[in-house]
Amino acid sequence: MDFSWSAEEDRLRAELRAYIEKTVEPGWSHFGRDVPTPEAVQQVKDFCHGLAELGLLTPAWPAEYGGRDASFWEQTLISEEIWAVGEARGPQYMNVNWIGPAIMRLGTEEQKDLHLGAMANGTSLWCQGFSEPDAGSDLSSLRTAAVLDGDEYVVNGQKVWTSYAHAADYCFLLVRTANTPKPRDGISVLLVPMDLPGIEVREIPSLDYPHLVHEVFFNDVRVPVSCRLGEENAGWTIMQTLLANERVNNARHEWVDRSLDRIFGEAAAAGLDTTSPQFEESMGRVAMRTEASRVLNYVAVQSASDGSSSYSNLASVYRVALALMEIGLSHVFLDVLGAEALLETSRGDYQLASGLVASIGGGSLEMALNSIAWYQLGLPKG
Amino acid sequence: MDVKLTAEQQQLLRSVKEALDRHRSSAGAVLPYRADVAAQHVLGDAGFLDILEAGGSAVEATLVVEQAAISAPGAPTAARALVGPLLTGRESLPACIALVEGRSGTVSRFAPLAEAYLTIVDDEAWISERDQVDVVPEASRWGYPVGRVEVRSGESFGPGSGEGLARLWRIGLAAEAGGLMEASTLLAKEHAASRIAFGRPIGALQAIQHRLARSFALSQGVKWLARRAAWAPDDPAMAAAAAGYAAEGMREALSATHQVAGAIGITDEFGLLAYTARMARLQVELGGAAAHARALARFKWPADSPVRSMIPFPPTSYRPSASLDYSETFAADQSEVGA
Repeated sequence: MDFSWSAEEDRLRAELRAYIEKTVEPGWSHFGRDVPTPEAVQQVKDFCHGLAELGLLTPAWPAEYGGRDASFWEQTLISEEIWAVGEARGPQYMNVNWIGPAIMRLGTEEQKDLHLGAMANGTSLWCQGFSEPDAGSDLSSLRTAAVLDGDEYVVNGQKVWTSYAHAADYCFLLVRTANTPKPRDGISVLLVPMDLPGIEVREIPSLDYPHLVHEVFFNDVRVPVSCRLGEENAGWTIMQTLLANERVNNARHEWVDRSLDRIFGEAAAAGLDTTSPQFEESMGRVAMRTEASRVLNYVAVQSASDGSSSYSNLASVYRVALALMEIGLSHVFLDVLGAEALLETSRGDYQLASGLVASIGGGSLEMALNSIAWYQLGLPKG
Repeated sequence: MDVKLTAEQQQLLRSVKEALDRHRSSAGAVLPYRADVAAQHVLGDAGFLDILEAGGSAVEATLVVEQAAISAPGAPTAARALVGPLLTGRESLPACIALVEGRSGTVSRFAPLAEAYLTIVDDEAWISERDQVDVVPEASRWGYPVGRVEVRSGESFGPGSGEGLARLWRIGLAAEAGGLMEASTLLAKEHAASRIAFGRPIGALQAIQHRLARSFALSQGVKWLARRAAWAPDDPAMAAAAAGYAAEGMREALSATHQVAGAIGITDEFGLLAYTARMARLQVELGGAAAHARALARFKWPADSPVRSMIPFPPTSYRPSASLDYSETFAADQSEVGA
């Protein structure tokens, strides 16, 4: 067991920090991750393209797809450094962590040619069309229909809570292609260009926070069969692997770590005593959770790297630790800074919103607990 | 980085388990408020308590503590296998060592039985023999034999060594806690899977499942933090993080496992108390979660840390205030109240 980074990884970390220092504006506040403005869209594309030129966007991908065959740990290190400044890749972390690898594994040559180069070059933005008004945690009940008509699917339905939809070039879309006794057996994945006729994106106003979530309507959208990823009706199996990938390497512990640092400055500016036992206890309690989240992410990454069958269970354990950490950070802002934390000048303002979402997005905390109960502890499904 | 256990480390866990399972099948389990001295001798005879002397690392010693907490939860393993050897560098230590928080009158685990005492006296660590201390046994049903310890004399390891004792103590505490939490959760899970109510196992109810799943997730966090801290045993922040997360986690696991087990959980027969009674005691060791948290904060952000004087950048233009004009909101509010 070895938790140390290699000299080469340390060198890479230093190179990445220098690039971030040069390209990410001071105080980039993480709101940019949701790319609320055209300028922000361009900013994350420029940032990712620069990363790609340094070989730091998709290093763990195979060389034939624009990577360097680097280790999972290099990708982890990069994720940590970029999360430390609020995930300046914007939505492109999804491309790197799971959409790209899914296309590598299951895509046709045409799909690989179309998508992987753009992802590795940092120029394409994706959203994921999973949740629907009546299908959230119960994803298998989704109803957005894709009916085969010649060599096209005709897609009708609605997705909701879709992040990045307003700016995305493509959508990783789950659709129903068959009505089967088990609903999960009739789901397929389509890689849908967002500029197809019949797609309408509407922002859902939320928390006075621009472009946080959207709803996406599909009205007779004609999607070529060549856009289907994998076999028809194999979507559920694909998702089982992908959702675990979505959960790990989301190195929010670095963001939380830097947010704790920031509390000192905000507290001092508010005239608070940052040496009091109460202050130190509040800070330390979140710092504990940060370290737990960090080490459990490492354990899950190791499992993924080894191709271990326990990977999905470990990802769920990590998901729980991550949620507890985020909730803890929200609380410490409020406990330490009080009403000051709810002003727009405080990172607490962002964190309270982020903390509310952290245990919902990317698979809810409750679904992670279900997974642990069923698949790790072996308890019966109710 | 490679954070999986090596084949040798996995074998070590299996070997400790097998040795203690054999012992337990013949000797039976000890009551939840007694020390399992016999199990400690089993570990000693097999060489597991001397794993550091045999060339093992703090990680291996921590794994022995973790597995002993699962298989023989009353054995005084942490002080003998991990803390004592690393602190003192001595090759011959007695089987039962008590860890003592202060020189005068503190309630300490294993004190009535111990043959040596490692004590934090101000900022120094001391080691005392049995005839250098006075021990007054106290009655407690919670996990261990305890007594008040008055240290009359001993050998000091020098100024500042107290921090080293606290650091190693925290690692041992977390390793023990991780084993206890995992074992208690799995035992409560067995009950939930077999106990039928309303025509089905109570473990099929989400309210039950989620308490056990949280408890399990916390146990894994504690186990891995203890291992991480043992990998760098000179890092006081990581040790405090492990102990603090353990103290918080034990409180939740203690409550969750007993709630799931119901009344049978508080019987000696069921076996849950073998773990939870010790968790109840360990959660307050060295001041409990609050003290560990304060220690972590002081190690992570020392007085001279530049973070303490950092001036935060203002938020950027991505904030909604760039697009929303709150003055209109204020004006509308004022109009409604007639201001």
